Amino acid sequence: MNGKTERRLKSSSLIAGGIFLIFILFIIGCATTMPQKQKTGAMLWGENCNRCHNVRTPSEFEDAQWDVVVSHMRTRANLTANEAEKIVGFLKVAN
Amino acid sequence: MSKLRFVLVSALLIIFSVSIAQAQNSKQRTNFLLSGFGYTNFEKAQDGISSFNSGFSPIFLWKSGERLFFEGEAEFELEDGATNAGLEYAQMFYSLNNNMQVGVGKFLNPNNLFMERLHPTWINRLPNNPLGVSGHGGVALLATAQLGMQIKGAVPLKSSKFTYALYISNGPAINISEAARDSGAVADGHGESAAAPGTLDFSNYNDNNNNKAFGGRIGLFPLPQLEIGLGFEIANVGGEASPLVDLQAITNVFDLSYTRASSLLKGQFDIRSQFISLTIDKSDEEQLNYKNESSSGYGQIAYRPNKIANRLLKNCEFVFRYDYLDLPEFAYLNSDLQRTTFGLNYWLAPNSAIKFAFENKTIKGHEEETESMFITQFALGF
Ligand code: HEC
Repeated sequence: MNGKTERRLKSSSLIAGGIFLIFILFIIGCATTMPQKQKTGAMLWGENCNRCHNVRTPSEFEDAQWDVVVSHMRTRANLTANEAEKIVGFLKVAN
Repeated sequence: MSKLRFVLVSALLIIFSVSIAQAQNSKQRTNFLLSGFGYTNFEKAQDGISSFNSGFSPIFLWKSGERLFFEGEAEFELEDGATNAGLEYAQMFYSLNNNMQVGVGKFLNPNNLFMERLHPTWINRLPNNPLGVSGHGGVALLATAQLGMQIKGAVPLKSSKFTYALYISNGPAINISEAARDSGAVADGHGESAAAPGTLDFSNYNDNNNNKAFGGRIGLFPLPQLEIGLGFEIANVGGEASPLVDLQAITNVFDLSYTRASSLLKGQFDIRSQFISLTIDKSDEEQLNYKNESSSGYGQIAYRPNKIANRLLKNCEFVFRYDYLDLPEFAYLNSDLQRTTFGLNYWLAPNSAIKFAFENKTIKGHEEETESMFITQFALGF
């Protein structure tokens, strides 16, 4: 076995191990929360908007500005269009 | 030269923002926002001279209609007696559907979680970056940004979801230059950007070959607050007409983020980790004929008691980070670094903090030396 195959094997077993671990955690996780599609804007905001940085208060920006910020955060946090729309809706009511 | 670049970049950005602001006035559905962050550092190495440093990064955001979005960030830093101006990213997005966006331009590397999501000074809980994720403090094993195109998005899965990003880009180029080797800038792990033979040059903006790098990341959410990511990149890194044209670099990345508010412990926990492994083919060329495998990693935990009554203490945050960088044993640059950092932050607002950090670094090269440093940072996001 040459070095190249060896390290490809090593990295693929690393990936396989990772996927297995994630699969287990996934099953545990699925049992607890509500279906993704039923989540409200407020819930999605609570789940997503404090994951990377401190929560920015809704009153900090006006409606049109939140439109831009949440589009920006859609690209950073890989949100679906639907999640982004619900979160903007919530922020516009709460600001 | 860098002064000229500074003026040019500034002028372009001003023209750009003014024209967008005008577009905003004339059309209802186009929105513009100026955001970004700034910082001032004060550093004192154990036996070194203390120094102030400062920089800022304006971010220009433009949303046009429901589907088009542009993001651009410039970076102004003071370094080695000059002002460095740079384009951190400039990317246009088009939203194809609920689950997918297409981006083209220069974008933050989606498999470098720290640089894509955590590096702005008002987000990063310590005043500097972990080893390996960027050139700061040693050698980068992963690009900060890619120049090319990407698709990214999310797919709901019952009560959870997974996220994905796939890109093709110019990718990195292998450093082989003798001149860089002689400059010795990074041999001791102090240099900002490494160019030693066998390391990768990630600012390969005029691609050195026809091969395009291919990479991506998937992110899984076993719990809403827990994200686990797996990333990869495959790229040929040699020059087109050179004997190294088939030289391949394979990168694997694992990352983990967990943020949780606990009423029992009266505060918020923030746990982050990222491991990078980079393998470059062995070649017959003199500077590259060894097992070229590098790795880096970091683990960080932060706790902020924001649920207690004491006004002073609830704004404090305690941080601990361990990080390391292992370079190939037979490479020209073979110093291995290990570092532990303790941090204390005082949050003035959700987007501004004063940070104090004390770090202890072990450098294992031909000899072993340790170095400690004290850093204070004032950080503001806007
Ligand atoms: C995946 C990490 C991540 C998540 C999740 C996230 N943000 Fe951000 N946010 C960032 C980063 C990174 C920046 C800094 C901008 C940059 O570097 O491009 C930022 C910047 C901001 C800003 C400053 C203005 C701007 O757009 O630059 C606001 C406001 C903001 N985020 C609000 C939110 C809201 C609201 C949510 C929930 C939808 C959210 N963030 C979720 C990473 C994240």
